[in-house]
Formats: sequence, C-alpha cells, structure tokens
Amino acid sequence: MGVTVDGKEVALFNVEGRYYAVGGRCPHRSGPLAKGKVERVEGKPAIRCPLHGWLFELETGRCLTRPGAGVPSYPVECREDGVFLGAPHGEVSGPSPSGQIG
Amino acid sequence: MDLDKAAGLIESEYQFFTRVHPKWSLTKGPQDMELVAHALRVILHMGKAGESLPEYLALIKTQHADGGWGRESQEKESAAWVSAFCGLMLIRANTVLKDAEIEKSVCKSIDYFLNQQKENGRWVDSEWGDLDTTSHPVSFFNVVMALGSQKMKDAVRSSWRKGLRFILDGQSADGGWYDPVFQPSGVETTAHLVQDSVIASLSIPDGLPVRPACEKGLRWILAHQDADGSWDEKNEDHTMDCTRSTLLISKMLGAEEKARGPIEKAMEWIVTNKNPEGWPDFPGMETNLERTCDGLDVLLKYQAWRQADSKEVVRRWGYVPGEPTFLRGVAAGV
Repeated sequence: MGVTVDGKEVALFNVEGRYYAVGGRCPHRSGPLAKGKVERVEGKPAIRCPLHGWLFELETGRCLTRPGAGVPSYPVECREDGVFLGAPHGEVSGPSPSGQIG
Repeated sequence: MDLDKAAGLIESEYQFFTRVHPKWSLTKGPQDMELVAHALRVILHMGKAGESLPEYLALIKTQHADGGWGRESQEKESAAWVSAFCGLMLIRANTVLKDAEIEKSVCKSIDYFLNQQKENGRWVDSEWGDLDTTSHPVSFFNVVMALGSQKMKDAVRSSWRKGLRFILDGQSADGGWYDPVFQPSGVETTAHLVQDSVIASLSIPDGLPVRPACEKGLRWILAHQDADGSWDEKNEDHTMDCTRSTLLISKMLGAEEKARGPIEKAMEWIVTNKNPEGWPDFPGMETNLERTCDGLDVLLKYQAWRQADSKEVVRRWGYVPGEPTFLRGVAAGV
C-alpha cells in the first residue's frame, strides 16, 4: 500500500507477515512502487515497478536491474498501537520521514 | 465510443495541456525530454505543428554534438531511447514545417544512431531493455524510410534492417516479446515493438516480411486484455500502449472486425479511468502529464481509426510516404 509519512511517499508491503517499507516512487520514471508486484529474487523479496520493470530489493532498496540506483528503505516496527517507520537507509539528505503510519 | 464524446474530451484535455505549457515546453526552461517528446507528439497529431516552430527550434538547441539528446534537457550524456523519440518528432514535424535547421538536426540524429548501433543490430540504453531500446531507433528509421530524403534513406537502410531483424528474432513462439530483466510480463514490450518497429514494413518499400509476426503479436495483445478492457492490472500507460498498437495493427492487417470489441472496451476503460483533468498512472492517482499526452494521443488515433480512409490511422505513426494530413477536422468530421 502507498502511504505518506512526513510528506514523503512510502510504499509499504506485508510479505508473509513481515513488513517492508521503501520510497514510494521509482527513480526511473516515478512509477508508483506500491502498485508493483512483489517477487522473490534469490529468496529475498523485491518489488517490481509497474511502469518499466525496475526491480528493488525490499530489505535494502537496492535496484537489482540497474546497478547504482535505489530507493530509500525504512526499518519497520509493528506495535499494538500501529506501524512505525524509522529513519531511512539509502538516503543521504533530506528530512527524516520517520513517523507513525496507523 | 461516440465520436462526439471523443472530440469533446480531446478539446477539453487539449485546453488543459495548453494551460500547463510551462511544465512541458523547452521554450520555458529545462525539461524532462521524454515529456517534451510526448508533448510534441500531441502538437503534431492535433495539427498544430505548423504554428509551433519555436517548440521544435528549442528542441534543436538541446541536441548534443553527437546528435543525441539527454534524458533531461541539461544532461550532457546522450541516451538512445529519448534521442530516437526526439529525432522522430523532428522528422515528422518537418513534413509540415519544412525548416532547413530541422532537416540538419534530423541528419545529425541519424548519424548518432548509425554510430551507436551494436554489431548484432541492437541499440542500448541503461534505463531500458535492449528490445525496447532498439524499437525506438527502428521506429525513427521507419519514418526516415517513409518520409525522409533519398539520401537519408540510403544512409539508414542497412542499419534499419539489422535493427528490425534483431527485434524479429526476439519474438517468442507465443507472439509476445519479453524482457526477462525489465518486462517479464511482456505487455508493454510487445505493444511497443509491434507498433513502433515491426508493422511499418508492411507499408515501406524494402521492408522485411513481417505479416506473420504482426498477426501473432496482435493475437498476443488481444489475449492479454483483462475483462474490464485494461491491460497489466489497470496500468493506464500499458493499456494505452496496447490500445494504440491494436488500432494500428488491426487496420494494417485488415483485422478491424476482430479488434473492434476489444478496442471499444479499452477506449471506454481509458475515458472512464481518467481524472477531471488528465490521466494518472493508475486509477485514483494524481494526474501525470506524460500520461495525459498519451491519453490525448490515444483519442486522436482512435478518431483516425474510425476514418473510412484506412491509411489515416497509419499516418499518425508517420509510416505513409507523402504529405500527412493531421487535420483534426477531417478526422472528427466522419
């Protein structure tokens, strides 16, 4: 699902009970990653951009189809009072989008 | 779809498109070049190229010394996919504008692609799969072969045929084209390749035999349409690609009757799943200007597809030698 946290688009996934959160837009042509399909690459979950197929490892945000590209990935914590995101990995500048989703 | 409804939508969406001119025009500042090329295609198919010379001259100013263009107007490195789209818009617009500077720019663009082609006929672009990338220079060269000078045709003929051969060899037995890295589902790749590269050879002298490949491609596209009329799980971009491909291929193969139902269903889905102004990437999302250009282009091509003149829709791809019409009045009047 797509959510907005502190003004930033984030794509949140529940893969077999484990939550992953990455930046919401593909760096290629801004495809909405929340609309993409989750695939398994060498056993690890990855999200494929629905526009032109760029593939991102959900755990790290690393792009598997274009070396050097990537999206921020967020540590996710599920608590009784909601799902919380930590500060993103893979992003060197900009405000932290940490916050509660719901 | 009712043609009056299509004409009304074209009118209102074109008004929106012109209102946001600063967001896509190089005359207003740096731009995303894919968006610029999409916008110039709208201008062309709206019959407005003749009054838009500054837009095309601005495009020439962003061309690099090697003849290519960058993904962004200020980017120094040329990229094949977007360069082909830009070259294509220039050669097509120049059938109306007949400008010497544009002609020179088209020649530079041709040189770029002749220099960049790999031994096996393909072109590469780090942001796209090889099949999709190659389809764009082949598309540009299709139009060079249809509309270019004899000198241009002689320059590209061999390269064009090698590129087309690379694409034909990449077709799967089931009729689709797949890119295992970028497009495993094959929907967008198949829709791009069959309309942009392969089918043109049916109307261009010196083309390769492509009819069986096109028939298989059309069958594949129609078989992958979802029940609601869309393709690729309500993907607006891919639905528009598949619809345009079906419009062109069905007309050129004389298979309109077989395609009429799927086309009408697709058009209904496209006009139902738009925003009050423009089209999104997926239903319910915000408007994307590039998708809006695609939406307008689909409506204009659909109008042409409804024409009695079977070449009218083919002219919207630039595959018919001679003067283009691109007169909306003609298209809307039938």
